[in-house]
Amino acid sequence: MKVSSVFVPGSFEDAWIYMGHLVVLTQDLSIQFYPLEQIASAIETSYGEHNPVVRLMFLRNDWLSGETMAYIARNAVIQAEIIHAFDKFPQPFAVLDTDLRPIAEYGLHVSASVFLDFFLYGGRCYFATDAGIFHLDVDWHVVPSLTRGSPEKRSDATCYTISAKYGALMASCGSDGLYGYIDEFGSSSDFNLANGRRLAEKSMKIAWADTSFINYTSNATMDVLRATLSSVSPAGRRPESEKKVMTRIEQDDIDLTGIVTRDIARRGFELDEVQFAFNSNSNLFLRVYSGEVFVFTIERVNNMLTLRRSRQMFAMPSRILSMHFGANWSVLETTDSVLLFADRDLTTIVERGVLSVRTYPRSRRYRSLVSIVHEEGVQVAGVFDESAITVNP
Amino acid sequence: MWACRQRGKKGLNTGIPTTNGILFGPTQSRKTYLSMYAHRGPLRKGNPNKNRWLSTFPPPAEYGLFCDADDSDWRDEKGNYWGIHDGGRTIIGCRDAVIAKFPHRQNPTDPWHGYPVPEDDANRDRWPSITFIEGWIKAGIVSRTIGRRLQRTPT
Repeated sequence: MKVSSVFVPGSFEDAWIYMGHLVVLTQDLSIQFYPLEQIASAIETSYGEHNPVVRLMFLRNDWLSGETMAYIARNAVIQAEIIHAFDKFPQPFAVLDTDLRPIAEYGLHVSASVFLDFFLYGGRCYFATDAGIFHLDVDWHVVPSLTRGSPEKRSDATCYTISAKYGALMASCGSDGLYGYIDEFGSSSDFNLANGRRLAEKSMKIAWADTSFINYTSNATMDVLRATLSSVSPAGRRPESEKKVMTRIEQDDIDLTGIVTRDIARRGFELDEVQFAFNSNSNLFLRVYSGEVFVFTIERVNNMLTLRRSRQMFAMPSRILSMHFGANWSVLETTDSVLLFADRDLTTIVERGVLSVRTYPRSRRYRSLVSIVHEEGVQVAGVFDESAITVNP
Repeated sequence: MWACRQRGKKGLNTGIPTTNGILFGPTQSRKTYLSMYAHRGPLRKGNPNKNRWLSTFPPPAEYGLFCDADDSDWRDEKGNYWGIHDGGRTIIGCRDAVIAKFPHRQNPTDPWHGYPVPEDDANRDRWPSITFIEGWIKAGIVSRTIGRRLQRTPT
């Protein structure tokens, strides 16, 4: 794996890559939009227009991993040139000229003092804050503009994390509970349940596993909620081109906490020794305070989610804060680093703690990108799996 | 490094052993502090008390942290004091705890005491509020990176 990064200086709190833009929340509580095309052009001007890395890595990930590229790179000279271009890209990053201004910036006039999470979905910006959840509709044509002047308040409880999929928004509000906003965009003609419903009494975070999701009620205790999906009606809005939207959600009977408890007991650990747990669609990862990291494969039996026996992955001396998933790799945020885990190897991307980390596995053009917000700016890192062009199909 | 800066009665700055702990003080604001034995010692399996200081953070350091909180008036609206060492970069308690709570005393004549609070033990009584931590960020006590991490700990 090769990692190439671009650094955009600024005082940011969080960042997303969405609809051709780098969207950042600033420390002054405004939202800024930087077109990725302009960032790429500025980097090409500064570091050499003929280096294809910028375009392949930051604008068109689909070209890099596509069959066309694999075919072209069967030519050994072209293959060597592409790899050489990645090798000569500035490390640890190419710095964007600070003269580049955002194409648009809007003040966020909300009653909150701190933004705790930020999520973009269905063309909408969601903000989790100490004063509740807010959303802001953006018209993304050419220059992003706001369809309303200020964010709309959705709830009052402090919200820590937000996640959205299948047209539904899930908000984890700690001991205030888990709130679900189903059919957020009125995509199904039969349902319009956009008002928040309390789905669980406690929620630290959630993570999707196909059509179910796991609600983490502490470091190690978890419940499974299962969604019922319906096709989007012909007239319905399709957030992120979803073919189906969630119309119903219910608690699964499976005792995932019990499965984890029994599994780690055979390794000599108790549940309260778990420091971190999180899941992708297919795996559940768990770190204990002594540093060992275990992975469980997630399976479906009779449409119910369950776990196979765990296996040990590696030891991680630092506390894991978050985990993010890419195409065939994942990114771990720890208290003092950001690490890429790929091909059973850990590679350091950042050697200190950061403000936020995001990946875009559902994006076509940006699925190889990781955005990492530091106190001094945002680093957009592109992960290139060279085996995509060096291994003959 | 952890020597207490306050001058009091002889012995009270190095600590006087009592049946419940080691007594320190008084601080500049005339508070005494008890480093309780109950919050010391190894964390054993099955032991419900997770709020234990690390042995690398000995009683004089614990008292020094309380002095910092008292001197800086790191007190919430309920009268609890909160402490953080080295900007939150150094772990002071079991389970990677970096924050300490010094709970409000019911009886003003009792010495103060405190314990580390790990993030996984955080609840609304056992974690400083988001606005309190924002004060630490603005005062430069913790970096924005560490402050946001503490603020994003669900309670």
